[in-house]
Amino acid sequence: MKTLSPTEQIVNTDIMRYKPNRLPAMLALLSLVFNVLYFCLLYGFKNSFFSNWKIGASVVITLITLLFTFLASEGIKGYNKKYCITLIVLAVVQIARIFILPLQALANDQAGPENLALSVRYFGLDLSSEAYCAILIIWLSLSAACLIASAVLGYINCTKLEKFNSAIESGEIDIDGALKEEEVETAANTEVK
Amino acid sequence: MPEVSIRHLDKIYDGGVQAVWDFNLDIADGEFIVLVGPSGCGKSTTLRMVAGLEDITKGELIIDGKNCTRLPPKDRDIAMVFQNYALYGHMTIYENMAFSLTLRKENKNIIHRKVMAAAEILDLKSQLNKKPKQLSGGQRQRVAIGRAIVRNPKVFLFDEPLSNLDAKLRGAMRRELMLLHKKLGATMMYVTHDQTEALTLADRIVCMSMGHVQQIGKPIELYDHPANTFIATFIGLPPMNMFEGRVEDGKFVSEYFTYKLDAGQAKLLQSYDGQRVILGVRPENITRTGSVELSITNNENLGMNTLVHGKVGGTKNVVCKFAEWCNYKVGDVIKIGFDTQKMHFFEMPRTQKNADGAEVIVEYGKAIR
Repeated sequence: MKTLSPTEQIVNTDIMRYKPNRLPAMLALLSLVFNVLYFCLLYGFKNSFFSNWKIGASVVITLITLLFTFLASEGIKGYNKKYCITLIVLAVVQIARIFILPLQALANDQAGPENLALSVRYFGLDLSSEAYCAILIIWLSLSAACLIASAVLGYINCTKLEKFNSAIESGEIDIDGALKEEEVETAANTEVK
Repeated sequence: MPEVSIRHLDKIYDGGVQAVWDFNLDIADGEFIVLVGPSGCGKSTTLRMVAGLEDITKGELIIDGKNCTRLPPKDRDIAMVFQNYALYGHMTIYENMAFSLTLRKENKNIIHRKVMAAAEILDLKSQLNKKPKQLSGGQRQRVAIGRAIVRNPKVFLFDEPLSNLDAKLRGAMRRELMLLHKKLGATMMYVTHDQTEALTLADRIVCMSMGHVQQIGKPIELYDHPANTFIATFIGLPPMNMFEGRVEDGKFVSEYFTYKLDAGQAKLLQSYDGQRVILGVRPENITRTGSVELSITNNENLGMNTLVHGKVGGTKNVVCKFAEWCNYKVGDVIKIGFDTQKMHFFEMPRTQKNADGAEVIVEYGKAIR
């Protein structure tokens, strides 16, 4: 992998000042997509044992996670470090959800023949209860993974930018000088080539 | 070799309407050309043909020695700044300015350097992480100009870039554009209907009307030596006063007054004896000593000068611009005269009856020189 010169590193960080923190924001939005895929499947069953208060709670949690994921993605886009905590909390919620409905449903289904088997159609496919639960777990895991990645990346970028800004304020870094130096380096490299 | 060479350019729309007739212009490297004229005169169409946004019906466009007549806009190495800024609302100012280079897949460090250099020139460095909606109109227009600068094009095209700004900001931006042109030394084509912009910015003005070029020249040439009655009345504020009359025995005789021509004028109009001509006098070339009676209808004190509106011969409206502070009242009658060195004479315009039977000008009255 190509190592960056100190000047190039300064220029690269300087670019961050004028561009949104896009990758973590996109990851947060991707987690939102997995969340949507999750609830499309979760509410896709035709008959189930858990048509009770858990469904109501699940709907409320889904709406809250969707809203907060979107808000956090916008927050992290503007290099706001606080939203990393929100993203981590959301990831924890998603992981916790794995142990509530999907695993409970699987356990209930496997408890005995007296329990009604789940009947689900998902994107035109009839799913067995095992597949149904497995896919639910996958979507939630992916959603949580994206949220964690978004939080970690967001935190790294925010910290990097924070340090860079304070270095500029204290006069440790001279952007104009770095830009000129970088231009000279580029010109020299071009000549060598 | 001129940077841009436009030869016999015609634009005929699908319906058969011809918007531009035989447009010819050579633009030198680093020259600031302003296309000026009233709405519908074909100036924007001409600019859009140069930009490649309109097809060229007939003629040839050469930019830096390369025939660009049929080239798509992206291959012409030009940058255009629009009246409505055309910025992307969801992008930061930095991203807006970098957009064209990002599309070209330029190295991001080079993009950064170019954007920062343009932002420095346009004093936009502190605004780079904002969104367009957070900026004022003037700043947004600077961003649009910055987006053009980063491309380092051969020619900059401006389509009425200051029309959306208020009068004060327009003045400030006009000065900034002048400085920018000096800094960059770039070739620029600028379209406006505002003659003040044209006179202050241009190295040369191309004045258009009815799809035809009426005159090309330095601002002072158009002002002091208008080629025809259109230029005479279009350039200058307030416009030139025009009096129709006849040349008779060394005199200019109009229905409002009779004016004795001096030796030079009599010689100039020798061949027009007995014919109808038009006398043009700019408001600032009217003096308060003379033999023509002016009945005052309005007195506007502007501080540095006074605009006096009145009627000559009871019917002909005349505007005078006096350097002094005047306090005329409506109905006052004063005597006025003309600065003989600054009088203009024109042939009568050629008119034709249209389908409705109304007289329309087909050719403006040419200046008699």
